[in-house]
Amino acid sequence: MNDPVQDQRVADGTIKIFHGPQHPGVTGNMSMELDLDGETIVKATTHVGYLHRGFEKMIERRTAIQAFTIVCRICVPEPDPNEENFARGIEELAGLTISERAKYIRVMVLEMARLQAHYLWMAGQGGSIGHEVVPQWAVGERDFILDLFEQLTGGRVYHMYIYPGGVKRDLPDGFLDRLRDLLDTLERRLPEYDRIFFDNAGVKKRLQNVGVVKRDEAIANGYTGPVIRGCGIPRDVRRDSPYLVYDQLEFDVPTQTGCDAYARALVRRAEMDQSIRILRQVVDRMPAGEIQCKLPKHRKFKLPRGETFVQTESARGAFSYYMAGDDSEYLRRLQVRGPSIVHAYTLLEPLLVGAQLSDVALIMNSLGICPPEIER
Amino acid sequence: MYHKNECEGFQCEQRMLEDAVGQDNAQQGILDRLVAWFRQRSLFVLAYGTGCGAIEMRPLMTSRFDAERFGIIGAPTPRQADVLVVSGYLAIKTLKRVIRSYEQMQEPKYVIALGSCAINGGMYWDSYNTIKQLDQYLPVDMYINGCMPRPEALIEGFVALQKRIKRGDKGGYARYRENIDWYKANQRKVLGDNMPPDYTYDWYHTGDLA
Amino acid sequence: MAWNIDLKGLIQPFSALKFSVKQPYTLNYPVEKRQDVEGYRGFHLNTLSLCVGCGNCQDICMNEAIDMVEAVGEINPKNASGLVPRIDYGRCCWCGLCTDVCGPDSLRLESDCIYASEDAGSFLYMPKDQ
Repeated sequence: MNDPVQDQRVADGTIKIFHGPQHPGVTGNMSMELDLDGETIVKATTHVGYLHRGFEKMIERRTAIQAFTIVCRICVPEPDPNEENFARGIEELAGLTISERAKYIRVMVLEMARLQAHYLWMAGQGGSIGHEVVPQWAVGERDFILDLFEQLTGGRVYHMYIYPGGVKRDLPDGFLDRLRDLLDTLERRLPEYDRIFFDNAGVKKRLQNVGVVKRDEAIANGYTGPVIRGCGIPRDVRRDSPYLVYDQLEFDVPTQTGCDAYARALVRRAEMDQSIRILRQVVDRMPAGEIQCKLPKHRKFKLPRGETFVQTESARGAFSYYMAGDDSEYLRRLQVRGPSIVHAYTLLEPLLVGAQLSDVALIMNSLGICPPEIER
Repeated sequence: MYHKNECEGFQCEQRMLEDAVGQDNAQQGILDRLVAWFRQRSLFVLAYGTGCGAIEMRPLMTSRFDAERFGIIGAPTPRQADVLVVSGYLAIKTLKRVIRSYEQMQEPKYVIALGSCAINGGMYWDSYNTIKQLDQYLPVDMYINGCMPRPEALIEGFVALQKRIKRGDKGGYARYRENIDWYKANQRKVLGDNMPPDYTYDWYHTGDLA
Repeated sequence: MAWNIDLKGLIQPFSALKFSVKQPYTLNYPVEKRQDVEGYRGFHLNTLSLCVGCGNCQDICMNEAIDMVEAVGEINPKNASGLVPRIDYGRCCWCGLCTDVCGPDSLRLESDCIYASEDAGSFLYMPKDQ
């Protein structure tokens, strides 16, 4: 029979399956096409495109103020770095300056978003190895952070709060005290996670030496975030090119040298501690002042001719935007580059060769691949 | 609304719908009522995060808003699932997979649409790659309002679906079977050559069981 | 294979059993509800005695969710056109730009947000007059 799939099967004995979009072990809506020899993977191909909405085209038809409400939906688990990038880009194009209080509030929102994204990562990683306790704890505690977001911004998931020119609303009364109490509660609970997950002998055996990233190609290929910090190279946008008030705050950039999934897990755990440390400093130092500078009406807010490139550190890596304006109220071009676009293609396809089938979900969670930002 | 008496601003014929269907309930036999009682309390939701809404399904299924108290839990394969939750918008590439998953599910099966993107296009109403009205491609049994809906709203939506099952009306899957040609024509208009294969539905015309 | 047993790593996870006697986080939803948050972006409210029918909300909404329709009942005498906004919840994304741009501050958002229905045509909402 001239069936190419059948012929290949007879020839090398491999089976082709789709670790597909409808799968409980895939982080979002993407699929991997795997060629298997028994349980070992021989070849892997990534398929994305299931979530493409055409953001960059839609933004060309909206004025700058209208576009800020759509930008946060580019990355679903952690929308705030997108809003920050967009606001900073518009401010650089239009030449606006924001007040100190707005900067501190923005840092607070970004660090809270980083903390809840790491809790969500813990839930995904625990679920992918069959540890059923950690997802229930982590998503339950993350909900308290979302309660605070609700009081501050008016929505649980899509905040639409970081506005070009400042932030949209002022802090409600007693918010900083509630945040301080929540940080105390979370810091008391984190050693419990160490006991059941990070120091667990079974979890260590499962995560060590799995998904080992080659260190020498890390910088050349452009890996960012916990992937490169798990290889021992301390790269962080908050340290290398500081934005907002990160140059005035004290924090460390944690690294590990293992290059495997366990090292990345330890890096994220250390980053949660650092986020709590930054939040405590921000809460103590919050200055008084204006929160927003005056903007013209939305159809008269013209962006001058020019281009800019802005970067923010999100929980999964460095998020970059390229924005260009011509002399109209519409943005001429917005190009989004999320951290997962390199991790899902260049890193993941060779990494899976030689791995076991049951490790695929684990590796995808450990690299922090989020499909909406690959194909906006 | 299901927990309130008035529609309060929504221009709906909800009360009229409920009054019209209420008469059917009187004709249900004792066995049908028993089967409906069991079915409404054990809904298996297919594990498929099709869009933005997948982010609020996680808090729903875990410790804070525990949907397992209502009998809702996830199922990994469509052959064992009852409910397909379309969480938000659908890109055209995903629509083909969702149709295939829906046709693989056994009857009785239900579809819940979360968010405003499935109702009239939502945020992405002028995009070239998303579906504007889900009702033309798949029969939807319950729409939940919001962008994103809160987990409390999701629970209300599931409870409303349970009430609908208790009433005993056939729901979307009967509509899909009877109007299969209309649905397939709509799908073909969007998907073009990329349609799922014919063997998934051509036995509907002969009237077989699922 | 070396026999180095990680005893601490094997015994410590069992400390999670102490949570089986503690109160869980679960919010028993229909029986206990969360407190209404002030400033939550839910359904729209429109005070008809303040609304002047200017149409700024329709202009700024980029999803074209707001239609200006004929008002029923008492309206502001300054409302020259006699039109008030009606919102299509199949398009709205709850961003709040329409409430920011409203001049007389008549369009606001309340904290209730729950509605489920089988009928897709029933999601056109006339804001409550409050």
